[in-house]
Amino acid sequence: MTYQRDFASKPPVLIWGKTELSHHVAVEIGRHLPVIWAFPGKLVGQPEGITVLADSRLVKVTGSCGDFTVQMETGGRLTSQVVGAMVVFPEPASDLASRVRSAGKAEKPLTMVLALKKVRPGDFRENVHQALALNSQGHQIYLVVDEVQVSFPGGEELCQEARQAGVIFLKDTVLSLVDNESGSEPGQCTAWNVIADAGCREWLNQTVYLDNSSLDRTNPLVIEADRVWCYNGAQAGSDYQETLKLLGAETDRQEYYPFRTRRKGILLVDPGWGEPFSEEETIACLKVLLDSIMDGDRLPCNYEIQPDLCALCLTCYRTCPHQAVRLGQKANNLYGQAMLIDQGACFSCGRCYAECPAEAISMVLPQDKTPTMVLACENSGGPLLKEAGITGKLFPCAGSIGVTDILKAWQPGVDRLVILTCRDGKCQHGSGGKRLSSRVMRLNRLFRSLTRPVHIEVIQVSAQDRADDVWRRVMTHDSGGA
Amino acid sequence: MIVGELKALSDIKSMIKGCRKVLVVGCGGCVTVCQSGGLQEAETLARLLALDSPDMTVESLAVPRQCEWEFLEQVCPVIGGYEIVVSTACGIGVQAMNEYFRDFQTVPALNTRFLGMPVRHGLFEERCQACGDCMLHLTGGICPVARCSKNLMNGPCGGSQNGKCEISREIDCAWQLIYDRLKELNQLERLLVLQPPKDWSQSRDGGLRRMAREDVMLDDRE
Repeated sequence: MTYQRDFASKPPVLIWGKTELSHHVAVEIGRHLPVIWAFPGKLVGQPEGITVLADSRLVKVTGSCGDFTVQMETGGRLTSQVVGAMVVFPEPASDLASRVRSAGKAEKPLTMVLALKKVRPGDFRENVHQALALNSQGHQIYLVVDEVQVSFPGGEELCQEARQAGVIFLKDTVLSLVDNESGSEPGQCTAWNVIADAGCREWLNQTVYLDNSSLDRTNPLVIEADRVWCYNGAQAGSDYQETLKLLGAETDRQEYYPFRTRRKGILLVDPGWGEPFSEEETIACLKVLLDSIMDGDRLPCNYEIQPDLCALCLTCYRTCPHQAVRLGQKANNLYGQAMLIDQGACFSCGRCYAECPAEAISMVLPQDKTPTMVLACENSGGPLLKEAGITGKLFPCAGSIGVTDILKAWQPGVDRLVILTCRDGKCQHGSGGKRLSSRVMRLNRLFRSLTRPVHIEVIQVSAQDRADDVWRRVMTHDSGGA
Repeated sequence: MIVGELKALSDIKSMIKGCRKVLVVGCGGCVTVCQSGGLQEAETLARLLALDSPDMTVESLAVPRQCEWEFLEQVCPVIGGYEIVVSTACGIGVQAMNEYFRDFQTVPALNTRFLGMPVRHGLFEERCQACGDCMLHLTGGICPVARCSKNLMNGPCGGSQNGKCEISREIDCAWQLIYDRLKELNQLERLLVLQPPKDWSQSRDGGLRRMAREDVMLDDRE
């Protein structure tokens, strides 16, 4: 292994978490890299070869990948650690599913309302499973959700099955509870308010008023419920959201890519996303990711701001999905200063390059001059184009395909250009496909005024698609409903 | 900043009808920031026009500010080869180009809309009408000239409903905003002071406006 040779020169990895898994990961990673394992709470047994900071609290994280400065309060004393990367284990979520399961053992059929707010796909999946199981035992289940999440493997099929079996999904719903025994007024006890300070709460024998705008009802739906559970994912695991916020890694979107956050160098081991990994898989995956971060052969930043051309319009600063752009370099432009891409934090997605209205961001990439009518995101479209034998111009993300790139690719006599992007919600840079689609929509609108109208077609693909199917969609006018 | 918006492509095409060599000149100032007329938009427009008429030569460039003679000098070396110039600057840039390059016609590619700011990325809103007699200190920093549909100076009209203006549910009533802001500042008593008629001679009604800083002006010998 290359990293063993210069072990001493590597900045350490901070492992943050008090679970058993975090302990095992710290020990395993510690065999190859210097590790600091920190957590709130007491130390039980000293693992060999790693630095342990028990009774710690994260205070502040500054810097970027390879050179983070982490301020911590350890045993009431402020300390500062310089680390190369961080692996964070959030507190485990409250175990709602097992509480629900025990209620299902009742002898008579019950009416149950299970309200899930801001839950991660792992919790969502588990609770839909539970609802389905209870339903098959003869109980009537109402699942009140803020969104029907299907983006985990098998999610679509699971929700479909639950619906067909009779589990009722309710979206955009406000719950009010009235205790059947004390008979309080509806509206005085809104379930979401009650759980504002707690992750999970259970009620017995309630009348539930469901004000559901998506059902287009003027009056609330009233349910006599034997059991009501409200579960707020944002509160589950008391320090989860706070820790993410402190790390600058908080996100509303669903991270499809395991362990990565939008702040480079900070990895989050969160079994809530996608299919859970086994301990071996988790450790193996973390090793690979840490290797790529710590091994020093980072990709050079492919995008650079030319300070003299920067108009300080803040477009790059506002649109960067990884918060990698900041104000900070001197320039010979009108303002004497320009924006700067923090190379340690840049994922080279090229969003800034595509959106810069002053064309002040250059792409340091070998330019392929081969004429083509297909442009593609290299993550989703790249492998498929190769397999299908189609020449296309590849970009690091669909979000990096700018309006002028699209127009430059145009060949005389061609009336159709195809761009391959990831499917919605699958972009590893947040919403590259969505950004591209808005650009294409505007261009297509402008194209309608041309004497000989031309058209750009966006085709959503994923690496699992069949190459011959993609070939057909690219080469013919059948976009497959995308 | 000055906020502009690209004209319909068909309008721009009709302005340059019959010309074979077209230069699109962008501006690095306000219209770059409002995403309508910087180098990227100038290049986009040039490529669209070229795509429309393959026999037409269309090139693009941008200057730091189209409203300054010194920056227009940068266009001198290239303009000779073209028949017409399309400017993606605001109306000031278009006029500066026409005044500076007397032998060429410069036509506007943008409609100059207003003086405003991005309230969020991509959404611009008017904030100032350049009335020449600022009264923001009296109204909690919210301009009744730019933001009240009727330019009222002494409180709202009867069309203020639930904080919105009667002309659209999308538009906040400026006087509701002023009331809320003055309340925040603990200055509600300001609303009891009657505002006399405003000095509109400083606004557009007094003819072409000029502002002179004699202390910084250079005379012809300098």
